[in-house]
Amino acid sequence: MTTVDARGMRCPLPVIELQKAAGGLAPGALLTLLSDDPASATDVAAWCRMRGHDLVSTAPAEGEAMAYVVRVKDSGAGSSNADESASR
Amino acid sequence: MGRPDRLPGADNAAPAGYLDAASTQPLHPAARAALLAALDDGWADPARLYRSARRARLELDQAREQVAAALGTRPDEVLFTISGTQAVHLAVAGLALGRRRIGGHLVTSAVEHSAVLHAAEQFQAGGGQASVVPVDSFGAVDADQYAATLRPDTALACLQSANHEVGTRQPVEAVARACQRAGVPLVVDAAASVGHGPLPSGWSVLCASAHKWGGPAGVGLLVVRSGVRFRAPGPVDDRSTSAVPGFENVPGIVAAAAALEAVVADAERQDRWASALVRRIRTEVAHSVPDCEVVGHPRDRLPHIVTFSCLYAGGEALLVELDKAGFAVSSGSSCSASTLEPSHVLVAMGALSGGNVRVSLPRGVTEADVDRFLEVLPGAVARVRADRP
Repeated sequence: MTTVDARGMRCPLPVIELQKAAGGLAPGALLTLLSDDPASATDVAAWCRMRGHDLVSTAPAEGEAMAYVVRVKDSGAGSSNADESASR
Repeated sequence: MGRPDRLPGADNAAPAGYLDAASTQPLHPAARAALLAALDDGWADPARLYRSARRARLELDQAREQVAAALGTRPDEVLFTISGTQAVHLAVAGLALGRRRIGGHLVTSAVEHSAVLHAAEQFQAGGGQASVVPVDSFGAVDADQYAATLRPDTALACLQSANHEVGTRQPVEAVARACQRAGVPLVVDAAASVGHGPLPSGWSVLCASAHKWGGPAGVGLLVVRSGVRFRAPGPVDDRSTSAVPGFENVPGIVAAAAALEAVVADAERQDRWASALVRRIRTEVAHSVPDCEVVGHPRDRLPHIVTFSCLYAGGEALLVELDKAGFAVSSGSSCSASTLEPSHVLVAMGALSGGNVRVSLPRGVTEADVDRFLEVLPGAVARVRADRP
């Protein structure tokens, strides 16, 4: 499983790192983000919803950090608009 | 030529590019005229008995009547505070004190203004309990869920009329009916919506802030329905029996009332204008900015507020970039706040908090302003994203 260590990074960097890592992974691959930014709790879930990935689990990791496990849906590359799902 | 670019009669409107009306608006021309007149005519101490004092008292009483008429309430129910925040603090503390024998429990929604949440924290620090009603992904509470949170020992409940960050209206009347059945007074924070259509009915205490509708800063409203068990939380004041101590800011209050009367009279037209522009922004942003999510309820919303969040962009960087292009907007992202925490409203909704932008249209906004905003936004977002490592 690929792990992105974004501890010490602040919004929006953890999600940017997550997006970069997801770009190189096969569909269905698992990706873990370690982040101690309080904004990640909301923003990782929002990123998954907007990009079509699945947030598999969220659990406390070392110290203040949380571990977010994501199942990658597509290549994650490109920046096509989320179209209809963009409006909520 | 098609329709006009700006509604007629929008004198002393905000400067071009000012799209942060939900923070504050420039003084309404009616308020300016009233303020200047009242500085000369209403300076004396309204608590005294001589001619100049009686004149100040008369001005104050007339302002109270104007506000009561605009809000559909009684003049003797209207109290003037120094801010909307003070009105909220007094509302919570005054009901908690007036109903302390009923119990030490209060209810708020998860998306109230920080003034309400801070008042609830103080209530808890004094031994009280607070229940927080969650919201859906649009930012609205469910009225039945709110009703189920009321208890026999609930001293008071708080619900905003509409959300100040995302514009979603709350089901105030349904919640108010539930509160009435339970015998619980409902505090409605109407700061975001006064001047934008009729207010919901059924509240016990209403709070608002004059500078949001084009009055001067330094004037808030605390309207307490007669019969509500409310007790001034502070020390008594020689000057009045009201919950708000001290010498009234007569010119400011007169100006606030004049602005409110003018804004309410013109609300339907202004709101229709703003709604059409907001609909355009909601639709176009979702298509012109990749990886962007428009938040808040699509229909049941304030006419002048539109909020969206962009992946891979910092809120503060976006504000700076838009400021360079001549636009004043605000953000609920953590990177634009003094703390690490993102907006509690966006978190409660489960909306993306990063790259958040709130656009709120002031009185007299032009279509050209909105056109130009929509033109520069995709480039501004792209530049912010490209600047990142």
